[in-house]
Amino acid sequence: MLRLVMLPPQSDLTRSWAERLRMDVPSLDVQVAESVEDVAASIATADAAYGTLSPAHLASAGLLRWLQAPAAAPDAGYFSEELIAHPVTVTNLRGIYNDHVATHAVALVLALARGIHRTILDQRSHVWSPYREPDASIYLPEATVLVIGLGGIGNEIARLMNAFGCRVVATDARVSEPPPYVVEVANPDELDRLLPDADIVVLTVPHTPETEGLFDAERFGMMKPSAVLVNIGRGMTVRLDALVDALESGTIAGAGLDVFEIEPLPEDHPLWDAPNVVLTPHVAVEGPYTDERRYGVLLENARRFVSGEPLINVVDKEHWF
Amino acid sequence: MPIQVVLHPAGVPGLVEELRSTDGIALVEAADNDEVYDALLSEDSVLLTYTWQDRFLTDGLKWVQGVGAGYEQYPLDRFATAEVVLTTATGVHVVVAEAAVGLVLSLTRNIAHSVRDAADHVWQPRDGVELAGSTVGIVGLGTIGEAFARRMQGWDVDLIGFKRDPSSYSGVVEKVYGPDQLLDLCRESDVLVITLPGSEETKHMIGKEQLAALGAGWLVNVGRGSVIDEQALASALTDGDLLGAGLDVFEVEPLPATSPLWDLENVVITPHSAGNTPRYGERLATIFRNNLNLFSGGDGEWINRVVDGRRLDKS
Repeated sequence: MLRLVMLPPQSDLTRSWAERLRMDVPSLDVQVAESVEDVAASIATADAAYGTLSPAHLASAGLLRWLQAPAAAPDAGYFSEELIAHPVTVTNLRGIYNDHVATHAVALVLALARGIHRTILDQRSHVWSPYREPDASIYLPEATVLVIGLGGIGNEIARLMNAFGCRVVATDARVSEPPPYVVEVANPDELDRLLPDADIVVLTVPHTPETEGLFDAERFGMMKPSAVLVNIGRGMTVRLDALVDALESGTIAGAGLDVFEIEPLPEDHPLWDAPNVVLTPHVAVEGPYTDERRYGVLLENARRFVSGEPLINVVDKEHWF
Repeated sequence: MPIQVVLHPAGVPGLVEELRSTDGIALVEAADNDEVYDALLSEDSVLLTYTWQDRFLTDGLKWVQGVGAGYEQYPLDRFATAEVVLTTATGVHVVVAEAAVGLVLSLTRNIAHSVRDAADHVWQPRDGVELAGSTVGIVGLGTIGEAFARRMQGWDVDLIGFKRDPSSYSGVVEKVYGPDQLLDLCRESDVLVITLPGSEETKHMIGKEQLAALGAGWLVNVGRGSVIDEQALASALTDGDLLGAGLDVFEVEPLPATSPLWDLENVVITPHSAGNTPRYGERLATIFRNNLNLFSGGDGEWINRVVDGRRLDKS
């Protein structure tokens, strides 16, 4: 009988998933490892696992063929050299939050484009200030949106922004044919060609060796002074010190961020008070049903695993996604 | 002979520059209401204005080009009698639809809470709600209501609407209700969005009863403040089930500092700025020049001409 180990830490939720998995896939032996000792005792006989596995435990996971990561884009440390070298197939939870994250990204874009973030602060002090200056808003029917990363989330964002009349362009390593709502999709190494024309830049990419620090002082310098940056991907792609400088010097006009190099963003970080920013505390994925959707991916892959079918959401381990 | 064009001082950014470079007109850049009035007394004139005073209806006034989308401030009957042409700036305001979506998303994605938390350097995640599968009711299916509907389509929501004459509707909204079904619309809606203009007919159309029918939903108003009974709204937000409101327009503007709405955490206020757009003056001037050509006897179609209380191109 194939064996799957639920790796610690456990919660009532993960214990309930183990229970459900036993019912839903009776041919799978599901074990719950509550502690590192439990992992040490069970990993050598595990064919599959859910969660995060340390390099030490990987060394003794001789039978392991499938590891389900517990996130859409696990933290950088997840993909250790040992994990990349190990023959195990890793799958992630991508795709299940596309709608929430894309909606949140558009919420950030519209707040910046329509100046809603400013008036929310004015509201606190009962100030009525319509901000009529031409640069206080972005006219979407004439704006170019550059979506960096045209995966599930990027696609949704592109589709929604196109409905506002925006011209949408994108970069993506894996997509060559643009969907109907995107006029051009280019290879990521062509980013610097597209950046100077963009009015709105939306980052959706995960943290990978290639995307770490993608937006630094040099890239901000290539953007229009009237452009805004939105990041709902991963915080490590944007250098916050460079962003604060770019905002304070007027190199770019504004930013909407849900993810940050350091999370939670420290209380004394200068970004909190930088001009024209909308900051949300890594909540783009939040919405109803996400736990149920996480279990849905685990269940789907468990069914496929026991019947020998190809898994979904397979990760290119070297590129972390 | 050039046509005298009087520009009211409460104008819009960029418009005066456009008018200065328009051929065939003699531009009067009035400094105040008195100068507007004096200019209108002296000869036949066109008035570009946002506000109205009854003394502006001189014998010389021939055409009013409104610089806003609404026309509730003008005495339509007297314009008709005196054969004064009225045109508006509708269409320049499609951005209002963007702002309406922005307000819906600000409410449902907790943007206002986050902005306030950020000002205090506080990291406080909150759950969002999901738009997909919910019902969005649009009260007023003119240019802006329809533009809003088209933008909301992407979210997999059910779109329903309210129109004075549902039989005249053609657009993307699936179900359109008429005047005697407003409460049904409110009951079915999770998000209610008002785009109606101000008039006697629409005054306080959304009151206690309609808000109770909406229940635990969201309200957005980018039409006119007079459409909503603001006192009833404040009660629904504080003592009732209403989850939140995004408001760009108010019964009294600017919103008085004493209004209870300012301090409600579930309210997002924008100061009648939904229609603000860069190059507003340029876009408005395009409409004006088209209409100026017709006023001077040229061929073509008026843009946004109001006749018998309706815009000619809309029902």
